[in-house]
Amino acid sequence: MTRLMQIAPAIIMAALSALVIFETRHLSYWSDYSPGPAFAPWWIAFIGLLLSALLVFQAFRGTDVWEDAGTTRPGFARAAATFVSLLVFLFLIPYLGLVITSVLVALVIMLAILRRAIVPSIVSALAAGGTIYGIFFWWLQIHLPTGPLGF
Amino acid sequence: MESLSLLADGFATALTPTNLLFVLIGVVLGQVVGALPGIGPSAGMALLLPLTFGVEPVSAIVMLAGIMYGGMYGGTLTSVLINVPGEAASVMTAVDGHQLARQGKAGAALSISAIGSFLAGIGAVALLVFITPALADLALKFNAPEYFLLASLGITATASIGGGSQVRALLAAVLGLIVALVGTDPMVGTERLTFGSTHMLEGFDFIPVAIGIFGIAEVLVSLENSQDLQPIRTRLRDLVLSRADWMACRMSIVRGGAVGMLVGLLPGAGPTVASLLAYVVEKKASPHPEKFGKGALDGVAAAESANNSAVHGALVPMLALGIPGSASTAVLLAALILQGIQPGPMLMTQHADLVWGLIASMFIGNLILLILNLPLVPVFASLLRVPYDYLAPAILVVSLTGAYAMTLNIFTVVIAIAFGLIGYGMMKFDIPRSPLVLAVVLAPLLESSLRQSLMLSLGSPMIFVERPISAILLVMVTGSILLPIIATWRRRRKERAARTAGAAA
Repeated sequence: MTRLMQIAPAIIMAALSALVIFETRHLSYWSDYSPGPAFAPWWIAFIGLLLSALLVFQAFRGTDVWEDAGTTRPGFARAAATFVSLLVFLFLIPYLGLVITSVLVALVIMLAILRRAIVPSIVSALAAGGTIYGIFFWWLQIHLPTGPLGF
Repeated sequence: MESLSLLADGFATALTPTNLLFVLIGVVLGQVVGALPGIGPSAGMALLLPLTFGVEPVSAIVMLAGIMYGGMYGGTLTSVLINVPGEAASVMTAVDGHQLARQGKAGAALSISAIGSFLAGIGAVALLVFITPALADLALKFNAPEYFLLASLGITATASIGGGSQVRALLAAVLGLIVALVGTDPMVGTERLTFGSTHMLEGFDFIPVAIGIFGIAEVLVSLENSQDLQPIRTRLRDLVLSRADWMACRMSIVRGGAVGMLVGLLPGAGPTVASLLAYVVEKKASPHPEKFGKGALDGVAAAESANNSAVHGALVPMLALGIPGSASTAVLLAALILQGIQPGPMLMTQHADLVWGLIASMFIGNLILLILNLPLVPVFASLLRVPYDYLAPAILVVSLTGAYAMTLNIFTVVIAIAFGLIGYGMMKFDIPRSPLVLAVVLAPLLESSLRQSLMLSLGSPMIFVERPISAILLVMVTGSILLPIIATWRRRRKERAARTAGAAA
């Protein structure tokens, strides 16, 4: 595990804390008689910066408790590809509707990413689509985006 | 006595056919969720929360609570039969439970787990009946300073007690507080950290955040290491406990249940810490500590009793004070808010039917779980033979549909996916996720009560010291931060001394 990986959360938190201070700089910290809208953000950002510094200090002293997740390259690729398919899911909903998009995305994940057998994958994807249709359209009667087939 | 009369009313509410059905659905779903490796009760509750839309508040809450404690029973199955804890609180069960299964005693391990969970669960609910109203009465004396410190304690205790690096856990809590800052200022309504987006004016809803952080992140990590697991087969007749087994475990259940209840009452500790602590206590009390780690039935009994008891105990601060003590109770609290119910000390008087219906439903739910678990273990175990790869994509799309159904706005799905990525990153960087989720829930109370306190005192922080209850709470908050630091420092000093002594020898 490289030291950069070990202190990555500290770097991200420090950047986020700086962003909070920058974005709330125009708000008042204190009004006449009470704390203003910038009071909490500034204190939280200050604590964030303090903790980031502490984590970097611990990393350099070798006292930071770190449990390596042990990610393999193929494992990471599977997770990344699944995440990308969720972004595609977002993109397709307005065109195909939620049920059809869900079935297609579930099928793609099982067949293309996880390399599973065709028949059980189709059964599982259809079951997911059926669950969404049964619960959200039919039972709860929620107006979900519909596709060319009307659901 | 008043509690008992209210509990009787609660049973009248819980025993209606609709609520009974929802308890049954909840505990069965919880059992399945707990048995699925990678999906814990918090994730399961967040993912299944959309199923409660349009359902009566009592039915919705008893179902979600059923998932919460049902998950504890379900986690045992995977721990014993495939050595993969369904959720973190079953880790200690996996240690001895799977060893027992390999020795041909899977039935005994599953049986004592179910019986121990039932007895400890019932005991914890019985205590909950008496503790919760007393605590709620005390909480009526609370004002802004006490609420600020109570919310702070919820966050610092979660970060401190959970194990692992305290700094990383506090970092997660700060991230949660930053997430909660987005939107409009709670007191003057000024736009804050919205980056000019109208979508962000109302801030981030808790549920898509929880779906992402717990559900999506866990599924993504599980898919990294997907493999087909072959569970050890169990037969019905193996589930019958011998008299010797029962005699050896009966006190373990009592000790585990007591440890679990105490730990559950503490904000932030939760069932994982409870099972770990109960296991350690049991090893010390056991006449055969050498068996621990190699197949100790009393170790399984203690750990399982403790985690179920802790789940019920964690409901006390949530019902009495409106302060969630664990990630699961945070989801339950969000469900209450989603149903239009304001949690807090007034909950027990304003929504007595809901609170007492929930408590009564837990007696019923635990009984249903015992009945389901003993004869139906082989059926639930067969679920484990379905490869996770066929379930994961379905879990993802159904949960994202649920997120959409909450607001009918695609931005909610975007939030869920974005927090899925954040949760995945947190798991990779070994940052606990519970402090983030609790901070998101507690942040509005934390900020508004802090500002109200300082307004009352005209800016003087002495208000937190001058009031007796807030002074006690301040000591607890300080202690929750300092005690783990002192413990770590002392441990390191001992280790250094041992190394020096070793080098000198």
